[in-house]
Amino acid sequence: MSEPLLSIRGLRVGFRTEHGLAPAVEGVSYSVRQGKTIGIVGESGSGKSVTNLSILRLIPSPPCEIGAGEILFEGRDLLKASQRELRALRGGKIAMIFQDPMSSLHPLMRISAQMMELTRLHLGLDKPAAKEHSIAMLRKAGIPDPARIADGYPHLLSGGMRQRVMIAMALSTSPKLLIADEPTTALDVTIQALILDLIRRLRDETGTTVVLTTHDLGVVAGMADRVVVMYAGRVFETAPAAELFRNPGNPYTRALLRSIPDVASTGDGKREKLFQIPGLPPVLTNMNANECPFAPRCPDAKALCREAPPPFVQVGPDHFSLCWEAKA
Amino acid sequence: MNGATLLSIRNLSVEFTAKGGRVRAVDGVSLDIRKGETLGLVGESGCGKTTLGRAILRLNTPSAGAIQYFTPDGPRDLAQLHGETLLPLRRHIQMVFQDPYSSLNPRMTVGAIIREPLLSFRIARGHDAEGRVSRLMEQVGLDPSYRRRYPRELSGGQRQRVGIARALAASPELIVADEPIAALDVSIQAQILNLLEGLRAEFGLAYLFISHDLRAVRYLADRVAVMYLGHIVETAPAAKIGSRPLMPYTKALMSAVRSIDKVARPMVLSGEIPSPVNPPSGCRFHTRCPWAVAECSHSKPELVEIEPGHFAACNRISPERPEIESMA
Repeated sequence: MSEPLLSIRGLRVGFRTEHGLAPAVEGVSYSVRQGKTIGIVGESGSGKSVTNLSILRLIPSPPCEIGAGEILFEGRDLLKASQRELRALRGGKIAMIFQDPMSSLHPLMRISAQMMELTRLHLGLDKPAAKEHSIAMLRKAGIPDPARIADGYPHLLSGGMRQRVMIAMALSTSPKLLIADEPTTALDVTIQALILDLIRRLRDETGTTVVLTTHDLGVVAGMADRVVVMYAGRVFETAPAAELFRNPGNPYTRALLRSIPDVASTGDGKREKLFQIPGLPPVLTNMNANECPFAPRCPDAKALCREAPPPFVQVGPDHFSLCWEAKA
Repeated sequence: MNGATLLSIRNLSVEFTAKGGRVRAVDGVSLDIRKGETLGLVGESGCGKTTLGRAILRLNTPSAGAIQYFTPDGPRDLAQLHGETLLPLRRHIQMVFQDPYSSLNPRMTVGAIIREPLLSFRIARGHDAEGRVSRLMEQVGLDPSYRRRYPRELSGGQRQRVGIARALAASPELIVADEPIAALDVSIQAQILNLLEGLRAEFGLAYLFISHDLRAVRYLADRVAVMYLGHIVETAPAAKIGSRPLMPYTKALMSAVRSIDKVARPMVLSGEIPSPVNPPSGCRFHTRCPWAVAECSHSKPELVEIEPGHFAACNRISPERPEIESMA
């Protein structure tokens, strides 16, 4: 088999706070092959966005410190790359889209100018070619009247249109890797469907590898080849998407899946109590390194879970879980 | 359920002045809520669902229509009441807001926040009030020792519990809950849904549960009303709205909910949500509807009872021909 396009190994990232060092990412590893989509699922504070931002070294340091690990992109360790090398990658071979498109678009630049900046830098296009390319990308992203929109400013657009502009821009350099951080969270449901459909279509057309980060398990189920479930800065479970949803191997994943009300279930008075995960997500500055971080909330916790950090164990074909249960 | 009517909204309109003209955010809406019933109100941003919820509490002023609230002394029209005449009725209708950060006074302790309705409605004071605050905190799953804390010391889920306790303090008959779980983490959402459902059963509360989360609405609601650009376009028992949506917009909304079990391609609507300042003529959904015909652009459909208890506003369906998909 070919080498993975992106391979994160043992990444550790901490934040210096007034309450001490908060370990935001504690030994995260995952790989994704060319042309595949990996879904990263987790709640706030699970470390999913910090991991994403670390790939292009976009987290501010201080307060953040990348403590250990490797981020191999095409076999090169990005954590050792110079600022110059990183700049060449950002927006070129690696593109990123964020939850809030308004804050990632320059409010005072015409949309075409923002897009042309990228393609002139990374693809070496001249002005007329860059302009033409921007309009073609906007059209591909399903933007009506793309020539007019290209000459306008971001504030003239709705949230869904802005996200389409972001996607058009991100894919205009034909990146090898697209990192999408909660790309549909701020959007209405019918617009969400549109944006996911667009990412899927452009991905299939260009063979771009996608890292799709979200808190919505449903979004991942429809998009990803492989899923990584994160909690408290750790990978709790990883498996091919179909396997993970059919056969969740970690108590946290199981609890999360069970706590979502299903739209297809028959309501009408026969309302059963929803399964709920008790307690609160952990406070990163106040974690006990000698127990499983989920143990205080885990419905299946045993004495052992409070005594030692859990092992990362294979529980099925290409399926791993961070849990003592798997060891037994 | 099946209780007497508690609230009856008739032809309610709420208008705002916006750049570019008047916006009729709620346009001729009629809805009933029965005692002990949970009515789910769904729709995308800008559809008027929040404005409708706020109108019931008279947090804005309706421009036309009636909001009949049934008291033991007969119906009172909330739309016609002001100040002193409104105050005694306000106690029966309370609100839980989306954002548990901005809806709690940061300079008041948790205890003071929950105590305030007891004092302002002259329900209890002094020692009696303190006892009630403790009981309310227990009812919403907060340790009464938190009463001396400030909102900033609590997590999002805990703050939402404070908001719910404050709404309960006045022993209301109806709670308008506007996106009460939207700002919360997935694992916390189930906790709040269970709490709301438990309180409903215990106190015989009625809810207007406003949300864009169709899974949550289907779980909690007895009946669901779907809103699009100021109009109610479908109302049905909760079980029906998921399994057999009739109006095309509802079909699109429901198919956009990503279920983990069935990985079906959602129905992707073309086009954006039109501006409420200048809504489309005829059926407001016709600009995005895959089944629209010429008639839809000029003829406004009325809500019609297509099946028992199931109303839809669509030119292309009728009690005789309820399924639009079977038509060419």
